[in-house]
Amino acid sequence: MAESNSSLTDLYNTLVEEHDQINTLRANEDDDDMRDAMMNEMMEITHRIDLVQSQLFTEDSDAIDNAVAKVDTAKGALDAALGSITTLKSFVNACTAFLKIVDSAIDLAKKLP
Amino acid sequence: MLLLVLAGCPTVQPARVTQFQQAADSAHTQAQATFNAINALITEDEINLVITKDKLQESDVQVILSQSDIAKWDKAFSAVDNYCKSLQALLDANLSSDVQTSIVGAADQLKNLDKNAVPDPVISTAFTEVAGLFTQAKAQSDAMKIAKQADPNMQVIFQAMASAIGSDASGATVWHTASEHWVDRMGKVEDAFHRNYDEFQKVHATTPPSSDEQAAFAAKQRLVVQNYIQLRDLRDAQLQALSSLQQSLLGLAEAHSALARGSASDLSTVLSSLQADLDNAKSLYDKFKALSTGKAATNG
Repeated sequence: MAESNSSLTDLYNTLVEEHDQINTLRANEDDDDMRDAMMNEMMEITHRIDLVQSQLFTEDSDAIDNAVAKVDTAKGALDAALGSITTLKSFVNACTAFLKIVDSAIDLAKKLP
Repeated sequence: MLLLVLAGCPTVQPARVTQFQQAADSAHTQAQATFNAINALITEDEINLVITKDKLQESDVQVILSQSDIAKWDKAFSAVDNYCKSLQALLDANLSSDVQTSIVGAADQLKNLDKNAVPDPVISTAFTEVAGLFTQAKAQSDAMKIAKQADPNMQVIFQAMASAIGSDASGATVWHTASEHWVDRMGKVEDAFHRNYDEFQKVHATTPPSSDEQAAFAAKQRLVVQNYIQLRDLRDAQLQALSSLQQSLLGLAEAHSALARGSASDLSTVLSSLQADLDNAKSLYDKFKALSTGKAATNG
């Protein structure tokens, strides 16, 4: 995960490890009441996993958000480049009009005796 | 000469930009579906836990993937979409042909003004062609330069998204969190199966069950197993969809890298693979929805 708080990640991993250990014990437990108690503990731990996940997701989302500003800058640069092409188009139009006049003048010159 | 130069240079292909944009849009849709499904999964389990307690607090039913965080992902996808639109506008083939159209239009106007002119637009024709190629080359050069500058941040965005989603039980990811919830759900069914067996054994500790009692017990356990299998299928569909989404996000990172290099063959290969990943993710979510609907109907 992008630059996540290592303390939060460690806490997450600890919770998951605990959850998985209890699950293994539960699966091998024969007493039904003990199994229910273990399952209840697992659900409590899963809730804490959710809360830590929420914090980590916020951190990841912030990292994404920080990079977005620079993509917007790239879009601005693209729009500026498009603007310069449009200006170029106007310039080319003007040049072409001039050259067309030149062509006409050359044609006329050809016909001069 | 200019044509030869253009033919040899790597270029940003307009069609590939469109494909990249569409792939990013698909990934956005899949991400939205993912977040809704994960929040729904977690909320249901939060309710199952809190109803065993003596009091209710807001922290017991907290939204885990918050709307404000999801909005940042939406904003990122929107920024990528706008970037693609600007890139497409710059590379729009019509731009250079628009130049040519306006040149021809200007030529026609002048032709009408000078009745003695013999149409022999040698110079202006040559200029028209060069101007068109020039604007195309300039657009390509600008697009390539800007795409290369944007690429590091595109990598950050898509890699961060992929890391957050995850694809297996390693690391603090949405995938792993969802997986732990499925362990709980399937564990409860395992416990129900075990308890049913124990109770049946206790009841018939001294007197063997009749064939009807045996059949009823078997039918009861069969329902439990069928429920277990449904949960397993739901779990597999959801986790595979998450993995597929992660692959799609990594594919987007790779696709932009190829786009910025101007490598048509690399980009084509990556985009094909990316589309396959996105189609796979969508079909898995459709399967998940179908299974969820079927299970809800069975449970009444």
